[in-house]
Amino acid sequence: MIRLRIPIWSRLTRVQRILLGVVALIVALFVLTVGLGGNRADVNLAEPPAFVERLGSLFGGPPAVEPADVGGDCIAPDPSPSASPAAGPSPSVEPSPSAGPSPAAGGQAPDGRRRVVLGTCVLTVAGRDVDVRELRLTAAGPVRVEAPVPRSDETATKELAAGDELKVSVDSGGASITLVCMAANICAVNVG
Amino acid sequence: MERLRTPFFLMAMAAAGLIVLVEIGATWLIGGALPATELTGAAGDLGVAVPGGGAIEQPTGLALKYLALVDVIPLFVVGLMGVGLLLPDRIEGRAQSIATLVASIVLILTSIVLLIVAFVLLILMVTLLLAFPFGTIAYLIIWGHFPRGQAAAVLALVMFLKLVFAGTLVAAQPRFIQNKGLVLLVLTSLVANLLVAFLHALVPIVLVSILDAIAAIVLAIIAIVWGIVLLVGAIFGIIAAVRATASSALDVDLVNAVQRVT
Repeated sequence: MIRLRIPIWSRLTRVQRILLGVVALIVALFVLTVGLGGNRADVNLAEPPAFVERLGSLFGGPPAVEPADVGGDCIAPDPSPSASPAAGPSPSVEPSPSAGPSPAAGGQAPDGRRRVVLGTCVLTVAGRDVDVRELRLTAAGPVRVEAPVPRSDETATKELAAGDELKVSVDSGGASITLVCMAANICAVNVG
Repeated sequence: MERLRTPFFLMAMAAAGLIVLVEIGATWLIGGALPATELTGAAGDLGVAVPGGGAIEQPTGLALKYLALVDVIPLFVVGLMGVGLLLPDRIEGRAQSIATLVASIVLILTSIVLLIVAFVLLILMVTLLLAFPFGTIAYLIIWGHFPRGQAAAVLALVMFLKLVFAGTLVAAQPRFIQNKGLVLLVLTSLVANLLVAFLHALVPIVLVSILDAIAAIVLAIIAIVWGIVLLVGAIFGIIAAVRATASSALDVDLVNAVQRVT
């Protein structure tokens, strides 16, 4: 009968034998972890898992885009600059050439947010040294929003129904956000 | 006492070096582009259209590279042992203490910087993921398709090299296994490998990048703790060396004084 003799083993103390057992356990757990192939469950990203939510609340959400950073050629003069003195230059929208002038263009709602979109409007958000900011848009009518995906060359579009709210994420480079009325030439969007 | 078996020791050194090289080079081993259609379904689920289709590059992750912060310590330790074979005993102790002091400071500072980098990236990932839907799309494009299989292959290779390292080290000198510090270092390295593999496997693939960043943060903290341990050891070593030098100088002075008197 062949007797297996491990010369080191006989010279090891109890603690050292336990340590070798721990190594074997680590290797076994590693093989098991890798061998199982990982979690393949689907995730609903509209409702991320609790640990992501907790991390998010720990870090705090992205700051809102400063009203002063929102602009572009489409900005109409603010009809009542005193209406929201704290807001600074107000976000506005550009009437499309075909839509014609409207007294409501660039108008401001009592809450200081409302702007009227005529046909197509391009909002520009100036760049800032902030990784991610959010611009809140609330549609009063059906609107399609086209915005660049932050930190990417891609553009994404989202269609909003009346009453829908959308937070457009903007990276440090700023963004040009296109708003297009879907059902009529005139529609309203609250900005900021 | 058994002699050091140099071939096995050199193999251990080579394995330790390879481990660090594989981890640092993981950036070139994993990742790659995915077909543009990969994003279409996910974007549709979010109620967003991405007309361009989405050019997705798989992320290389941080944790594999950050493993090098931990595994560079065994490499340094066996490197010092190797150098100790070449240097005379009188110089060896002082040189080792000074080298350890410098290396531990570099390790601590590097780990702190990389800890901050990983933390900032984690904040950015979570912020984008929760900024539904445009930020979520951005997260999906940049970090949503972690190459878990490729990372597991690299981790398995690294684990194999670590076992080779441990085995050849013991084969080189069985008394190494009685060195608690060295055993703890090897165990830490193995546990770090297991931790990264476990965190990569724990969540669905879309969220792996977030846990990868968390693993990187943990690895940087482990490296800082080991760096502090090395730093304290080096300081005690230098103090002991200075005391020994001072006492030997004092002994020489006393002998000279006695000789002059007699």
